[in-house]
Amino acid sequence: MKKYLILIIIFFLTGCSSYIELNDLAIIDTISIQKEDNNYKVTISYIEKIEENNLNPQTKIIEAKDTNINQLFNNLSLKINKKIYLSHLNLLLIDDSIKNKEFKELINYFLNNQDTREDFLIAYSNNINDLMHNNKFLEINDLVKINHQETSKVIYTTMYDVIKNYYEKKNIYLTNLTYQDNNTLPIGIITFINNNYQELTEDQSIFINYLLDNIDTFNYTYKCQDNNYLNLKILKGKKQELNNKLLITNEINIISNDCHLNNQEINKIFNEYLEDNKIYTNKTLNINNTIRGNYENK
Amino acid sequence: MKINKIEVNITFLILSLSVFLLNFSNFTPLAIIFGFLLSFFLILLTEKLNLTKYKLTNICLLIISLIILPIYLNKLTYFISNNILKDYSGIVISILLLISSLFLIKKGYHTIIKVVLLSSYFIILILLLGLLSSIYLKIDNFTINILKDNNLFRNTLLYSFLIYYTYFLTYGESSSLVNKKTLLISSCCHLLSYLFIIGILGLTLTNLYEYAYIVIYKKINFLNFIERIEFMFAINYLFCFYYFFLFSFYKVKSILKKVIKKDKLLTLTLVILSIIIFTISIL
Repeated sequence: MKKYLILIIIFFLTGCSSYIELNDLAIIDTISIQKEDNNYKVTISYIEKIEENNLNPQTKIIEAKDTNINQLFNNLSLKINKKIYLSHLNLLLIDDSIKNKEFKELINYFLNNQDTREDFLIAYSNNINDLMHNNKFLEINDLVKINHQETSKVIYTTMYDVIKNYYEKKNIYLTNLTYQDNNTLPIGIITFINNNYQELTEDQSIFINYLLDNIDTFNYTYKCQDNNYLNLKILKGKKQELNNKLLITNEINIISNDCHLNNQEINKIFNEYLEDNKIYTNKTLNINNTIRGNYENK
Repeated sequence: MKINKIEVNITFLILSLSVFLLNFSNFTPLAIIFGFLLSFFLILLTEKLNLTKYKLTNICLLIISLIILPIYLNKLTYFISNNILKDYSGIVISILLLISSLFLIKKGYHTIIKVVLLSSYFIILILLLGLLSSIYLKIDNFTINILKDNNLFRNTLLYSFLIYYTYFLTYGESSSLVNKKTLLISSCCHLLSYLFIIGILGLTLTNLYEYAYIVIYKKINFLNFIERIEFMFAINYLFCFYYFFLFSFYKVKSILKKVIKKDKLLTLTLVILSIIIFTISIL
């Protein structure tokens, strides 16, 4: 009797009753979300089948519109007759129509969805339609990752970062992408601040990566009179947030000093540069620089 | 078949992993330390006064176990249907958990301890894998925000109560007692896990997620080789919670056994009790 009881339990424990065939799953790779006239417009790319010759996945693109994100994904599921599966989501593209309210709805959707992993990339683009319909989104993930590591002019922001920054009321930094001549290009970093998007310059992008501890060092170039340049290498930034203050301790190496500036002047110039970027930190800066290297007296 | 001291201590350690707190704040380490000291003091007192001999202690234990059982069954079922067997009926999960528990407690204390010890290798291995997430630790996340904490007292009481109760669960038919060092190790494990959770996710995200531990395991990606191990951790978590439930159930059985001498009547009582627990847990 006991053996039969155990056998019955084993049959129940397999979880077969909720099993879904792989063919009935829409494994979503990329999502783009826009808002048009109070309606969310979502474009998804999902793996339809795998090519027999080279085993490459073939993706299909579907669009849907609704006022509510949950409802929208249900509609998509009905449209493609498959279960939406977001565990392998790699990329989420948004544009300037996504503001505070929309961010909140998006975050709530992903937090409440048990299938999702919040480690996918979020990027910004004003050419979402071009990117999605030309299958150019496949390379975006690698493009941003490599550029983030090599040039630091873009930022690899995941859903975790967005959720954290949203709830801690900090700025959200996203990579700005464009589509030109059949190519996907990262332009730089765009920040979501005070319910608006604001583009950052190259210098500011690097500085933000430096502030967020994404890079260890960066080069700063200052143009002085007669086309002369001061080149500094900023090393080992120690950043500490205390109440409403950001304490920055920098070690600066002078690479070239054609401007013939002394340490005090260099300190002043660099601190002004940090102060210029202050709006992106929302905090009072307290800077302590140690400058190393030779300089020539005027 | 004898149970030695090490086996009892490992069981205590595994059971103590299921201890949970109400929320996370900057004061959680204090709650853990105070909770540890309080439970330590209570355990010393229990051993000195030999409280386990008194009938009143057994009655209190029975009442507490009967309160804890539906809570843990509910927690366990919710956890499984959310993280492991998604889309699976919670009622079926509860029934299966209860049937397997009934089967195991009928087998006796030795069998339960051996089951715990067998899975302890897996549990410890998965916990050690969690150390791989240390690369995501950020000092910035340890910001001090005094205003946000309201639950220090409640967390301290809850922590000390659960540790003290766990001590009683392992204190059973074996003559071996839980070592004080094991108590200290379990509290250190809790402190370490707190540091990891807050250091990786920060306070805001930690309190936002229901199972912050699992989010950390989601993040682990070691050389593109060890990744997506959150399900393994979920099973780990399930084991710890299930064993806690199992030992509580066994405690009920062992106390009832002193009153109900007939085996058949005891089995019937346990079946009726499990039906009541199941009903309360789904309410």
